Amino acid sequence: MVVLEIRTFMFKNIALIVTLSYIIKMVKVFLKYSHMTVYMLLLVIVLLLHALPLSATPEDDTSREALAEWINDYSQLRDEGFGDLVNTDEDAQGFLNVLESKGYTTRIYGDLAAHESHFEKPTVDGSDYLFMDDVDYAYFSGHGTEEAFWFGVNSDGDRNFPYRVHYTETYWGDRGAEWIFISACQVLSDLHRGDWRRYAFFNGDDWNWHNLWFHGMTGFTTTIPDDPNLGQRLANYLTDNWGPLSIEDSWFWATVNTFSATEQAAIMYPEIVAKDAQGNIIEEYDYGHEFLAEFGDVYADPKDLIEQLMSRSDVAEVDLYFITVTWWGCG
Amino acid sequence: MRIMKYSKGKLISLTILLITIVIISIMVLADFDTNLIIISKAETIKLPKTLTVFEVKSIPWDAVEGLAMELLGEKCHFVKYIESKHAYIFSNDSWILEVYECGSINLYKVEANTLKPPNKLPDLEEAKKIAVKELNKIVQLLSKYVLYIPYYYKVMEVTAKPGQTVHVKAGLRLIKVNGTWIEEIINEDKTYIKNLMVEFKVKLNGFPVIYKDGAVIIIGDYGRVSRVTVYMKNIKPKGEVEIANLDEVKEALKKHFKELADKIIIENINLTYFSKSPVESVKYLKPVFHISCKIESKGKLRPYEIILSAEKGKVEVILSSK
Repeated sequence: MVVLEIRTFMFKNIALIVTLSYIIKMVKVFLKYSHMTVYMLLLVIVLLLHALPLSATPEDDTSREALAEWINDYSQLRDEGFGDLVNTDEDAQGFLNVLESKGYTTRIYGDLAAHESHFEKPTVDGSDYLFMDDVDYAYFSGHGTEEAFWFGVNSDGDRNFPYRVHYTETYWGDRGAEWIFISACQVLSDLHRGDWRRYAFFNGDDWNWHNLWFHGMTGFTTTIPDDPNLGQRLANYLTDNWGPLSIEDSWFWATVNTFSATEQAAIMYPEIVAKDAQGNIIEEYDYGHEFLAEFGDVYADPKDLIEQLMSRSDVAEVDLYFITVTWWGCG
Repeated sequence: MRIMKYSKGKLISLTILLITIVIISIMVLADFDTNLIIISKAETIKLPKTLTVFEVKSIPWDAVEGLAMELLGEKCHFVKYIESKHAYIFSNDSWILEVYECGSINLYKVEANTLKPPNKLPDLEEAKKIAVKELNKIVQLLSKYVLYIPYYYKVMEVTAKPGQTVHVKAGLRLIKVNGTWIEEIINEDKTYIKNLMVEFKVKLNGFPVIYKDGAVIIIGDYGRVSRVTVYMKNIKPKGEVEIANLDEVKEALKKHFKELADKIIIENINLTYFSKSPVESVKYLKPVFHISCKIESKGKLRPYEIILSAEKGKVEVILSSK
């Protein structure tokens, strides 16, 4: 898969260079520039095209995209004690169907096609920039433990944590992702919640706000049943089918309507508070209170928002917190 | 000589046939009788021979409307029917009421989501008292319009616990000093409880109802009720089913975990009724076995919650944890 992705990347660039060469040849013919000038021009254009995504903010394009991955077949992980599941396909598909009906562009991968590398950062040989971090919202349905969520096949790039997305392998939002919804057991339990924050949001450098692009993640602190309906319910609450409600409220009602009082749901997101010189709060941004794009307010990425607030003359202090809200199901 | 030759060939064929039979038998036996060990730490339960199955009946529009009027008062108005939710939505100035076709209700306050800590939450005992009073009031109204309350349900257990809990992890402070921004780490972590959750578990025919049944009342600041969810359904008896014995349960567990575990440790086993969310179109409430177990594989233990259908001859996994 990784080889394929690299090949695609190379082909794209070769195609780009060939096209540009052709255009420049035409320019050369018509405007009679020298060889040297033309090739210098070609070099400048290529460098500019490659430098642009590095210097600009992550790729938050205007079209809205969502990705879902599901795993029912865990036959390769019997030794880890994982049994097969039966409803994750319906769970993930239910989420995407609603979003697709609302104009979102969607992608779904299941079982053998669902890969841990789709959620892992390039520094651990992952390719999240082409999958999870290439869309706005991601949904995962499968097995989970406190430190990871698990896949049915091994596509681990650096072979450190095969079959799973371990928290150390994540850094999200640096390309375009805003939220991930994890329909799996225990991923947001007390034990590693701080680690998920440190890596998924800050790339391992805790509280370095320059790294903070990601808006939030949802999950569970306890085990949950393999229910087929959570994804669809969540999407219904996020959109005008049953809402639209904020992301926190949508996760709240979807989980309350799906799980019983022994299952605990959780949401984790940054909070940014701007104060004036007297310490009065001027503005407050709780990312859990934003909406799904196209259905209500979506805040700028946290890094951008902090920069915007710091550039204002009336702001003398900007505080950054991380909020986790937990609650029990019902029934 | 000729006979001997013929018998030799026959003998070889017979031997091959016998070996094949032995191999197949071993494979078949291995499949049905794994070395999987089952250890039961659960208390022995006495099982009835048969149990009633209940059919879930829709409540008519008259009942829906009547309930809404009584619960929301004069300002009650019908908002919409959501087909995918099987629910009628009503509202007045400050409350939203969802009445599900199966007779369940969800009544909650329209209020902005805030992370502010409450000023004064009651203690758990106080919250229970407020919730019991509230539930009695609502149940009295419900019993006028739906079948279940007077006949089948009995509140089994009332528990109160923290509801929504906010964990604030501090943080970073950026301060402008003489035009320059300075960063400092702040250590003001705090956790606070936003509201309390009082849960009512119910019994049907003397057996607990699990998954999505019972009632939850949320008590907020100054002891005010902010949500009442009654997930009980409008039901009617619909025949009896024979209940499987525990050997059948163990066989079903063995089958489910045969490729996965070396050992199954059953920690708890209960005969209950299984009820799904009222958001779904639910047809029946049927008896199930609810099993809490741990499975051991290569020395690792993983917890599992399993729900098995309890009907004799049809014991299979309905739901398993992820």
